[in-house]
Amino acid sequence: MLRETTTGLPRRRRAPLGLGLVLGLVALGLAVVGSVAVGAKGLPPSVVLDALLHHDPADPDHLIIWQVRVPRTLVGLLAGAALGLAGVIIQGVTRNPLADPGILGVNAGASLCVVVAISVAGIDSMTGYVWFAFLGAALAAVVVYGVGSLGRDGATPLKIALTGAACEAAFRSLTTGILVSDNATYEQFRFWQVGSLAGRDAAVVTQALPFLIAGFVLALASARTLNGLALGDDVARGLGQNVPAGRALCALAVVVLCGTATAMAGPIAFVGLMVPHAARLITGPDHRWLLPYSMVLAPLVLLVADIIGRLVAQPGELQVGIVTAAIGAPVFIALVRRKRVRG
Amino acid sequence: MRSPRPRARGSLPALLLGAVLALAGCGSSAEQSATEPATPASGRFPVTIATAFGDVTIPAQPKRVVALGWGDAEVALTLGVQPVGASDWLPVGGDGVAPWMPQDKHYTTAPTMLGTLEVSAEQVAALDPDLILDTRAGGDKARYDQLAALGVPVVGIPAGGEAYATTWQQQLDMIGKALGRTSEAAKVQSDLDAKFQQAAGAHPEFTGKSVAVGAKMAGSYGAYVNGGARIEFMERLGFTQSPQVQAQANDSFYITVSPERMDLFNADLTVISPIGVSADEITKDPLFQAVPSVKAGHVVVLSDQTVSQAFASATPLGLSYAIDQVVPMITEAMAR
Repeated sequence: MLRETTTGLPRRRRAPLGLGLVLGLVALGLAVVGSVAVGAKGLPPSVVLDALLHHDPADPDHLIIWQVRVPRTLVGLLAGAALGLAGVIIQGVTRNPLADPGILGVNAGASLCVVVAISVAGIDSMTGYVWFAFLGAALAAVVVYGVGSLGRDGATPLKIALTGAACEAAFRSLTTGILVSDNATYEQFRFWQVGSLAGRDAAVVTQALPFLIAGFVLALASARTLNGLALGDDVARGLGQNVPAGRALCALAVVVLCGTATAMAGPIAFVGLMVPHAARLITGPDHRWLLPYSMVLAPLVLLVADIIGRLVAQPGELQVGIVTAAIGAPVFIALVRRKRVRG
Repeated sequence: MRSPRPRARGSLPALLLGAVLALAGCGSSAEQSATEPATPASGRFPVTIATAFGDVTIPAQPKRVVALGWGDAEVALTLGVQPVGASDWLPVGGDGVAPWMPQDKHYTTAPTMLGTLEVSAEQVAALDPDLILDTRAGGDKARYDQLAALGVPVVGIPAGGEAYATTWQQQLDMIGKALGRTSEAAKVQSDLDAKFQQAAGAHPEFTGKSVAVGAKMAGSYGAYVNGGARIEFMERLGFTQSPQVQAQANDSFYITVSPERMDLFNADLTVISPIGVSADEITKDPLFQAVPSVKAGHVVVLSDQTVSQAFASATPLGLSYAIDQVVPMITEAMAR
């Protein structure tokens, strides 16, 4: 679907793109400030500043900043960056513009593993979920990639997408089966299932960080491979790329990024789908720009969605997964329609 | 592609919990006052009961009762009738009898256990019932129609009632009539009323004090508002519902509370239950600990699951048990 040559952009486009990235970072910085400053409880800026500079553990308002807003801002930043990168890579590897982590069965695998952990092992803490979500994501990717590689022509985008969709359905069915027969697990899983930045404590961030850094490095390093794959396997091979190895590396990056993001925040819909498209409008198809742009724009979307969720349902909150789905569903439909018109 | 089903269903358990919590109002324990002599089979048949699905007539004293609604089996047992089929809403397992039920109210013949939200009509039919109780349930027309198609009187939620919002008094009244045990039911009610009055009378220090009643489910806090059984329970002891919580009330039994709005739980007394999470998640939460009433010790955490379920049960014997267990905890918390 990426028909333009992706090996390089005219030199003159780089300066505006670089500037755009800086502007994106500035916007992200503002979102971070907003995420710390705005919430279900209205705190004046002076209190927020005071909490950040002179933390007093006895002051409930300071606790809100440090226990609620700072951790969820960090989770939003990291999970958002991971989802944005993973979205680009999946769309690149499968050459499917509507692909997102769901299509590889990664989210469903993570969910299944979390449910099994709650139901069988009695795991009931967020820090416990991380590992099982991660394990589930990895297992799902191995299964999907393994099954998708069977046959003479190896892991083609179509086979991976089909296998992913089939596994996604199978994992979901199993998950639902367990949830229907086990009320207590259902109640616990429910919250995680929707996807939220709230209620995740700082330990989750610390645990996830090494994985995320590895994932970020892998993802950003995959730009050339993705540019090659975008031209089709044959051309990529002709350019001297090792296609199966490149694709496997990309798959690894996706597993690490999605597994960790999902573990941290629960499955969050549409961010990984929407953001790469938005980024592509600005950068064009070159993955060397697409990846960093998505890495900046996805957390921006996620943090803004989270801030909206905190404000619209007071004194409760709307989980960010619901907000992104509400924003994302129309975008998804628009994409599908546009594709049909052009395709 | 994104699992619409769990999300769609997501609100149901919460709603159920909220509802149940809401229902638990007052209780009646039949032990103390022996005012009315019980006349067995005090009801006369045929008897007609008004339900949300129209008037239901029960032609003769039922012998094979299937109890499907939340608490229906327990109320039938309380009135001395053993259902042949029952749903285990709590879920306690086995034959679904809650731990607070006295030994002499247990089954002598174990019932067939049936589903709660989803009941197999085939399984119900196989039990050859002559009465089906579904007085505290979703009030779903499709479910009612399926059961009614068996040709057996089905006592659904009361006329004008809402899903899972049947009060314990309504439930007791309907089941008492349906089973022909109206005088037993009246005695159960008056006993529980008396027990509440006695508890309130013994603790004048409760009177007029504000209470915020909440729960923590996985990841989110909630607070109960008027119309709920937990609030009725506390009000019968003399407390008044926290005005700041009540001010946030919408059309549900509870409101969700952002972790940033824990100040809503501040009152003369804070009562909170863990639902599906460990009590640690409440007691070790620095945000909860920072609530002034909690910091001062004026807090009751219903960490014992049986006590928490009894408090929320909205059945006469559950509430009676809750009075025995919770009142001393409240007394201690208020004295701190």
